[in-house]
Amino acid sequence: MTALTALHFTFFLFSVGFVASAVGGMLGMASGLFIVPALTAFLHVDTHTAIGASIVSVIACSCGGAAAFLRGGLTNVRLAIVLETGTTLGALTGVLIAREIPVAVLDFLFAAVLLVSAWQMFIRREDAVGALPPASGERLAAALGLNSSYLDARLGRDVAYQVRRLPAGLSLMYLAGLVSALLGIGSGVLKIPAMDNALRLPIKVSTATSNFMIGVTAAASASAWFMRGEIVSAIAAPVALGSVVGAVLGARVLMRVSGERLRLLFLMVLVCVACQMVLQGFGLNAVALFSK
Amino acid sequence: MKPRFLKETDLDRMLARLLQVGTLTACAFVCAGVVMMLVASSGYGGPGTARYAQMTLSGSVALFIALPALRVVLMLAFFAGQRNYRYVMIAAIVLTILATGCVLELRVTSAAD
Repeated sequence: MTALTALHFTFFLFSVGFVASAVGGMLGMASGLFIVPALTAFLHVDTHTAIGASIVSVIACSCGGAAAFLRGGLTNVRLAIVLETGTTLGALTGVLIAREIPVAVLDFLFAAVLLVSAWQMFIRREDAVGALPPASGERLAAALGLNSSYLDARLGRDVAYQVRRLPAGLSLMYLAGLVSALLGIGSGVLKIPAMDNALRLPIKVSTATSNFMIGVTAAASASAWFMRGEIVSAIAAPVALGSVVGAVLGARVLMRVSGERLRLLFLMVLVCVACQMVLQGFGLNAVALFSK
Repeated sequence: MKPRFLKETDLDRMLARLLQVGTLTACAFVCAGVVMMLVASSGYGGPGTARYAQMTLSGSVALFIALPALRVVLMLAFFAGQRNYRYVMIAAIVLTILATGCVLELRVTSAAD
């Protein structure tokens, strides 16, 4: 490879990470959702290599973004480590069964996750806490000392919250870990319903805690892929760098633009990417079809 | 300093520092690796430059992957200092699962060779 083409390719990899992560950051979602489709459709990277690159950049974004949440006192680290037993076990299962699953099935599963994300964006998240009566009989959460409080910047005071239905939350986390390992995504899309609906956490706490957990979940499968030699460093490293930079910028932009139109635009992007993944599952490449 | 006097907010602060420094270091490694790769492919570098570039990039990926495991180790040490053995056990379980993935892979890979 000559210097120029190597430079081009690396720059494209960086850009894929950057754009995926900036868009993800603006949506308040994980970047992984866009990295695998972009790498496979535009750069013709094979699906397993793309998943390997994506999982590394998911870790990078999680670690890069965690500091701000931790300093803001939003992350419930105790709850995170308890739930990580579920997510890492799920990821381990994913690593073990990944060999048996055909690539086309992964493409279809990816499309399904994208559509669920679009649906979640369509119905929006509601703050589940609100007028809930104090929980009784949640002995497990109490025994583990999971109930906590966070400083709400808007209200200007500490808001106490209780963790509910821990076993249901843990089971959903196991599924989230499994899907994360198979598709190379953070699977925040599955963690968010677990945290909002099963555990009934305030949105800010569940966003911060989910971001914090994504790193360990992704590391469980990434370390196995790395050992297996399926992570191509020359591809994964520039994508990861791009995503860290993109995540920082995306979060900044999120503060300024957060309009209804933007939400609908992203919803359409998610549906289009889902269609591309379905086509890819059938062995077609929409980008190649249109550029002919 | 007696570790049991550390508060939970100190853990948050230490974790934030670890993750931030780790991410920045890994990013610096990526930049260095990419520069070396370009030097190698332009033909200016010595004979080993391409190999060093590859090693630096692999090192950056390995650091990214190790970072979450390191923060679980930090949490385990913190809870051990607090004598909170329930959480020491939970952190140990997570570390064991992380290690299991690596060990299983090593076994499978060496069996395939």
